[in-house]
Amino acid sequence: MWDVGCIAASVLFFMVAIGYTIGCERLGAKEKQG
Amino acid sequence: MTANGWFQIFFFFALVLVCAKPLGVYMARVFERERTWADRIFRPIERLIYRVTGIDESREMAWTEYAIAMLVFSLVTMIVTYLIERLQHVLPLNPQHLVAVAPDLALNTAASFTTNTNWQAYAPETTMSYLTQMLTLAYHNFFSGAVGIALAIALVRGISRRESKTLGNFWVDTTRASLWVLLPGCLIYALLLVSQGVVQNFRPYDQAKLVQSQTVTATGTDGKTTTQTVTTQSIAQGPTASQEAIKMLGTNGGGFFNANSAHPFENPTPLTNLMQMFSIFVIPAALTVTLGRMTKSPKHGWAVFAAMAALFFVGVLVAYYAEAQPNPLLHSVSQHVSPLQAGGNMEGKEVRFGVANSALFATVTTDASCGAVNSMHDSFMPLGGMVPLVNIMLGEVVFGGVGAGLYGVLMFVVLSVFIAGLMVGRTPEYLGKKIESYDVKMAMLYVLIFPLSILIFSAVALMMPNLGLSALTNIGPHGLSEILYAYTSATGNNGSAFGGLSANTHWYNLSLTAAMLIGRFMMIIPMLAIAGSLAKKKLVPPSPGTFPVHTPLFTVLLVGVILIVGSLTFFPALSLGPILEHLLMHAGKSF
Repeated sequence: MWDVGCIAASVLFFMVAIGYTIGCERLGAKEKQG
Repeated sequence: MTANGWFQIFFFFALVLVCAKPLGVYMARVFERERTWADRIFRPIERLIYRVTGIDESREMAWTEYAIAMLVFSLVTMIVTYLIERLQHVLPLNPQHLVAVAPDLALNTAASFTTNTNWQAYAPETTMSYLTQMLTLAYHNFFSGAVGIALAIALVRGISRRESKTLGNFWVDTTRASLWVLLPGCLIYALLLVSQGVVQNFRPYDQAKLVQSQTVTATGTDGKTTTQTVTTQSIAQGPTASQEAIKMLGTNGGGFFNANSAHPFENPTPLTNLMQMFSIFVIPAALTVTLGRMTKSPKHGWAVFAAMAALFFVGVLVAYYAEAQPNPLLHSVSQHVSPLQAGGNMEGKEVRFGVANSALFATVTTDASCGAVNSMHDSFMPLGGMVPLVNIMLGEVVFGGVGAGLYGVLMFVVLSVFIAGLMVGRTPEYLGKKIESYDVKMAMLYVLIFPLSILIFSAVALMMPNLGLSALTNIGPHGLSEILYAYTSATGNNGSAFGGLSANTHWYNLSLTAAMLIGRFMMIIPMLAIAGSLAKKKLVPPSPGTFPVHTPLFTVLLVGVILIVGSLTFFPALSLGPILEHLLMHAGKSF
C-alpha cells in the first residue's frame, strides 16, 4: 500500500510540475498578446 | 584565528581561481560544440549513445520541451531508485544482507538524490547495499549534477541567443555534461583518493577485536534495560572512492558512510580535505567563465565571480572567527591555541582538520549546494552555525551547486538590473535584452517559492508536538535552528544536516521529500521560462541609460540585492534561532 502511495504521489507531483510549466508558458503568451 | 589558518583559506581560493578560467573555457567549448582535446575519446561514445537511444542531436528544444524532458527524466529515474531500494534484499551486491529500505525513507532518499540534495535520514553503512549505493545513488550523483549544468547552459543560451525559439537539446546537454565534464574529472579524482587511502572494494565489513572491551547499557522499547559487553567492532568497507569523487564534483554531498567527510575512509588526509573543498567549488566557479565566454562578455562573468567571492569571504570570516573563539560557558578551561591543541571550539570537529579547515569546509559546502560535512554543524558556536544556514538561505548562489549556482545567481542578476532600471527610470536591460514584466514575474516566482517552502514547513513542524517537535534532541532557539536548518537544507537542495534532529520519521521523511521536490523543480521551471523569454528577444543597442553589468558597481549591487532579499526574508527566523542562542550563551545559558 505504501509503495503504491509513494509512486502515485511522485507521479502526481511531476504532473503538477508539467501543468505549472504549461501555465508559465501560457502566462508568457498572454502577456505578449496584451 | 591563526596566520596558518588564513594561509590555507587563501591557498584554497587561489587554487579555485587559477583553475576556473581553463575549465570554464573548456566547458564553453563543449556546450558550443567546438573542438576539444577530449573529442577523440568521447565523441564516438556520445554518437553510440544517441544511436542506441534514438536521440537526434541536431534537434533543438523550446524551453517548455526542455523542461518537460527534464521532468520526465527525473520522474523515471526517481521511481527506479525507489524500487531498487525497496528490492535491495533480493538483489545482488549485498554482502551484509541488509533488508529492504522502509517505504517513506526510500521515497525520501529517491527524491533526495534525484534533486541533487543528498539529504540522508539513514546511516548508509547499515541501510544501503553496495548495489543501491552504486546503481542508484552514485548514478544520481552523476546525472543530477549533469542536469544542473545542462539547465545553466540552457539559461546562458537564452541570454546569448537572439530571436530564437530554442535553448538546445536537454538530452545532448546532459550527455555532454556527464561525458566531457564529470566523468573524466571523476576518473582522475577517484584514483587520487585511492592513493590517499580512501577505500574501494566490495568486501564484507571487517571485524576488529577491541583492545579494550566496552560495556554498553541500552533501554529497549519495552522499557527494559540490558547491559552487554562489546568486544568487536564492524569496520564498514565498500566502493567509496568512486562515489566520493562524484559526491564532491557534482556538489551532491551524500556520504558513503554516516560520518560523511569526517570519516577517515572518505577523507583520510589534509590533502584529500583540500581536494574535496576544491572539487566542490571548481565547476561552479568555472561556470561564471563559461557564462562570460558564451555571452561574449567575459568581464560580466568575472563581475559575477567577484560577487560570489565577496560573499564567500564574508561567510568564511564569520565562521572562522566564531569557531576560533573560546566558548564563554567553559570559563575555567584553557581554549587557547598551543602546540597541544587547536584552540577555540573543537566540539564536533576532527582533530586532523582543526578549526580553520572545519569552518572553511562548512562555508564551502553550504555556499555550494553540496552538503558534505567534515565537522558537525550542530556543534558550531551559534554564529558559526548560522553561517551555513545563511549561505543556504541566500539561495546557494555563492558559486553554488553545479549549474544550480549559476542559474540561481542569474535570477538575482535579473532582479538587480530591474532595480537598477527603476533607479534611473529606464526599461531595464541585461546584455542587450530588455527585461520585461514577464521576466520579472518569473524571477520573483523563483525567489518566493524558496522561502515559502522553508518557512511554511518549519512553522508546521514547530506547531505539531507529536510530529515535528518530538524528533528534536535540543530545546529553545537551538531546537528551532535544527528544524529550520532541515527544511532550508532540503528546499535549497543542499542536504547537509545540522544534526540533533531524528529525521527518520514518517513526518520528516515525507515533508522533507516535498520540500526537496519543490525546491528543485518548482524553481527550475520559472528559470527556464526566463531563458525561453530572453532567447526570443531582439538585441537593443546600449544607450546612456543602460546599466553596465561588468563593473564593480554592478558587483556591489548584485551582492546588495542577494543580501537584502535574503535578510528581509529570513531575519525574523534567524533572530529567534542562532542570534537569540548567541545572546543567551553570553548570558550563561546553553541548550
